[in-house]
Amino acid sequence: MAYLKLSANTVKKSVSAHKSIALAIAALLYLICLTGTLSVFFEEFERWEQPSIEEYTDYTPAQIHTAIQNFQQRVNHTPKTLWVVLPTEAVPRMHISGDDQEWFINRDGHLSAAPLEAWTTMLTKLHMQLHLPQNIGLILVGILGVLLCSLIFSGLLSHPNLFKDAFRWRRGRQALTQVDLHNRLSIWALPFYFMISFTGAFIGLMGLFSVIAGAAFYNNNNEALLDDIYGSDPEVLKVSVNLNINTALQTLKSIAPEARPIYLAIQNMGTDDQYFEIAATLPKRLIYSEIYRFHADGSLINHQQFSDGAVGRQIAYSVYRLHFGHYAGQWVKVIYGLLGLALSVICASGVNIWLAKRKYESTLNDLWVAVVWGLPLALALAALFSFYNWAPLWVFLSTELLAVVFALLMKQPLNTRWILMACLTATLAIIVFTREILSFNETVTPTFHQVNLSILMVSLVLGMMLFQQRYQC
Amino acid sequence: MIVAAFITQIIGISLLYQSWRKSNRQPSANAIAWLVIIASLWPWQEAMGLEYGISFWFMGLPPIAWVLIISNREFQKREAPPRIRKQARPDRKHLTHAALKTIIAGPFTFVTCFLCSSFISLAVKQSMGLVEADQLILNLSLLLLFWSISIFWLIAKPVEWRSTFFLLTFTLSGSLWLYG
Repeated sequence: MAYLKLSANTVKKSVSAHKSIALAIAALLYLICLTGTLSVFFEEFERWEQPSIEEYTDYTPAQIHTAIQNFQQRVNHTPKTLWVVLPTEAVPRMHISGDDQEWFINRDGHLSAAPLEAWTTMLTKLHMQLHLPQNIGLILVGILGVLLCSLIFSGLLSHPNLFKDAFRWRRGRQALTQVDLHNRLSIWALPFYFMISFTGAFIGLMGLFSVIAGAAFYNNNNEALLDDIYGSDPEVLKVSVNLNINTALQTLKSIAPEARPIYLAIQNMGTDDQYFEIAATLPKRLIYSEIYRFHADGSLINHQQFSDGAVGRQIAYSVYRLHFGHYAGQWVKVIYGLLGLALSVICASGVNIWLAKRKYESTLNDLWVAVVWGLPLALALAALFSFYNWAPLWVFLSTELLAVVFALLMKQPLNTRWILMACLTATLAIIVFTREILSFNETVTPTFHQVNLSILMVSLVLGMMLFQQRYQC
Repeated sequence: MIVAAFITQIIGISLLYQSWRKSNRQPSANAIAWLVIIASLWPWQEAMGLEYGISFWFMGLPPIAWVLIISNREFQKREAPPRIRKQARPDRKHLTHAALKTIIAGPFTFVTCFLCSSFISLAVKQSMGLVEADQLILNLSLLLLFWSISIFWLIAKPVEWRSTFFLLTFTLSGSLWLYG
């Protein structure tokens, strides 16, 4: 097999750069990869957290009108924008929100419970912004995306035998196993990792870019720049007090029969400039949605041209689904989950290689074990305690801190790893049983049991790994 | 069609694997295997559309290859040497050096790459008649690409002043061009 022919000097420099970048960001990158892997399934986790919400895929304009009326009765003022998220195959639940107030909608249009801001919210926020103030967090995660791209380039140039050893996995010797695992997992999914890091950086740094490019080219007018990319608000020519959603949905069906509406947004609600948008996914397209804009009377204004406008606009609106893996059904999520897990293993094994090559152990070995196995344990315990209304973020942070202290006191990385893994295995099993017991008398959706079964399977796999490790010891 | 696409991909990677296993690896066998792998892109995009097809093609490769890697695993059981435990303190000089490199590789390189990507995207816009959305997205994409490569380049270079000098020259000339 042909392989890259690089000079020894280039390889040496690349290895040095790869190592420096990786060690500087290892823990944060691992956290981002791990939470990203789990966040792929955030819709399933949200349904699992609130299993007794009514689920359906069909809806009527009358139901939407009833929900809007009920929403207006519940809140004191009319929000500027009102969102009605429509049920889909992926999330067969309907909810309404405006001005930070949100409720699920029953089949009859009446409002039910408010969505929980619990573990899943904590998880996705951790992935997107590390629970830092939004702009800072997004930029930091975006920079981590750029650094992951750097690691991909330097990784490619660091391994001249990457293609020569494309199918090799030498097991048994600890360091060699880690090296082969790291390289084999990396090379075959390289385009996927590049896509994930690039789209992540794109999403995270779009805000910063708009500020800088806005200052450079748009006289500090960020809005004008974003309008050029994503399209501007439409001009409302017809004034109508009553919203005719039925006509709009009929019009949409006639102009785009294959479009599947995912949400409806009523803009400038209750004013003369009132209009509404229906966002709809299109088959075989990666764009998040096309947005069709209607006058309040239901007549079409235009569409935002995410599907057929400038290539730049189409790309800008395609990065989200491509990054989240939310397209083409459930199997894509599973593959994204597997590849995301592989990326997390690459992060962990990369540092393991460096630690193994040092030929001695220090505090760093303990800290790294606390990161690799402490973080999943912290996430699992946060999920468990969130059922009892404990703040998941604080449980997560406290557990991770305890894991670090425990690892530093133990000073035996192998034993620490085994104990943390055992705790994780047990916690996952307890989560499943607790969830099932707590929801015993409730009418729950099949997704609830499917998620529980998946967690139980992960727990069993971890249990087998534990047994294998103990047996080998 | 999806089945055909997946089977073609499996055949392509299996051919590559078979060629890899041979002691005298032949470039022609590799080329055929890669051609079959690339050819599987066609049924993927026929079945799923261009956008989904390409992404499925990329996502299909690793699981197939990993199955072959697992089937080919070798066991080399050896006793690990006993590891000594010692206190390793970070070198202060090394840390200062790393902090300096981070500053250069971070904000400084970002500004340089922004100027460079702006220049290229504006030049492409003028020559090809791109609309604003295309130019801005090209600008951002190039910025991310250049920045990640520059970080690697700067950290890989043992002598920082050369790369710093290069970036500084680029930043100053770019600023002059943009604001001068």
